[in-house]
Amino acid sequence: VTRGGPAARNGLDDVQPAPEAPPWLPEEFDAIDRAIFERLRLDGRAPNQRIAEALDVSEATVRRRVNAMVDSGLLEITAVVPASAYDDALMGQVDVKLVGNPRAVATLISSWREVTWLATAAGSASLLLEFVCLGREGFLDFVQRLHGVEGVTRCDIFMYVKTVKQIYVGPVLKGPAPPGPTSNGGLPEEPR
Amino acid sequence: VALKESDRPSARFDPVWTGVAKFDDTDRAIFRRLEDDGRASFRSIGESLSLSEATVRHRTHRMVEEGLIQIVAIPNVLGSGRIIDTTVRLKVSKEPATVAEAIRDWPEVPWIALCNAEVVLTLYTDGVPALQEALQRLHELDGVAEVTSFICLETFKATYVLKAS
Repeated sequence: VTRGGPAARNGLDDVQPAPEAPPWLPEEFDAIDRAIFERLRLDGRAPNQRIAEALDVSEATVRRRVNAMVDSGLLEITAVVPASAYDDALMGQVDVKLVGNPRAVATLISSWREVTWLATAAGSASLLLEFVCLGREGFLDFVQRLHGVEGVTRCDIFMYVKTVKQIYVGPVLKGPAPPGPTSNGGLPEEPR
Repeated sequence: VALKESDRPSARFDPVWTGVAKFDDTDRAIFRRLEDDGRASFRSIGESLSLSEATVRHRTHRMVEEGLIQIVAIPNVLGSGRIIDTTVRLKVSKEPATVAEAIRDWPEVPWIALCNAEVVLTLYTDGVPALQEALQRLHELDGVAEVTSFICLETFKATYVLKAS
């Protein structure tokens, strides 16, 4: 388990691994797969040779296992951008209450760039979403747009102050960019 | 909890966000290759971008060191439909950090954050009985005044950004 790696420098030095096997790991993972996953979890580029030595298995075994987990779609090894990459990022969650078709509103709002995660929900809100906004202006613009969506009746916002635990979990969703107009929240376009 | 990947919008990291992060064009191009395959060799990335292997290695290490990117392994939790994804908010009667601390080692909890007077967390449980059991433990936890839970039915987007720093 990586300790004192990039996560530590991001102010997440108190993030710790779960001490027992989590119930959500794919059932197909056996003990060796789980041990390999634990070593790749925060260092996706950990060399096969180093993992093999730590687990006392051959490098070929590690290579074969990693390839099998990735090829089966049960594991994705990918680069992500932590909040520390941005100046002035505001993050939080919103409970969205609405009338009308939740999936239609979900499709629209999930195309927004500030929205990093969105799901339809059973509970006191129809949708839950998570956002990242840059600065106060970006945040105000986002909230105003959210309230302006047809059918949305109420938004309760919960700003994150501190992350206590973070284990990246899937689904890893891939596909074409969402259709239709997307808002960029007043942010500059990516240079071509 | 049903999830059909084919009709979901893209969850790749949004180009506008990677555009405003502290990347230059070369960093961004390398990031894209690593996003597609976090274990791609520096040589193959270099060849596809007409960069030297040393340049790719150096820039990747620098981005990781500076906290601009992380290269992580993410298990596909919801693909099987077995796991129930629940978001929980706890109103607390004592210091939120103390309550979060008591939950931190629970294996079914991959993520916890503190909001102003609340603790927000994700539960991934294997079926309804396990969810009920975890919610009961939360209700009985010292310092928890109110439990609000949301079962997430259908995930429309899941982009991997570290949730706070």
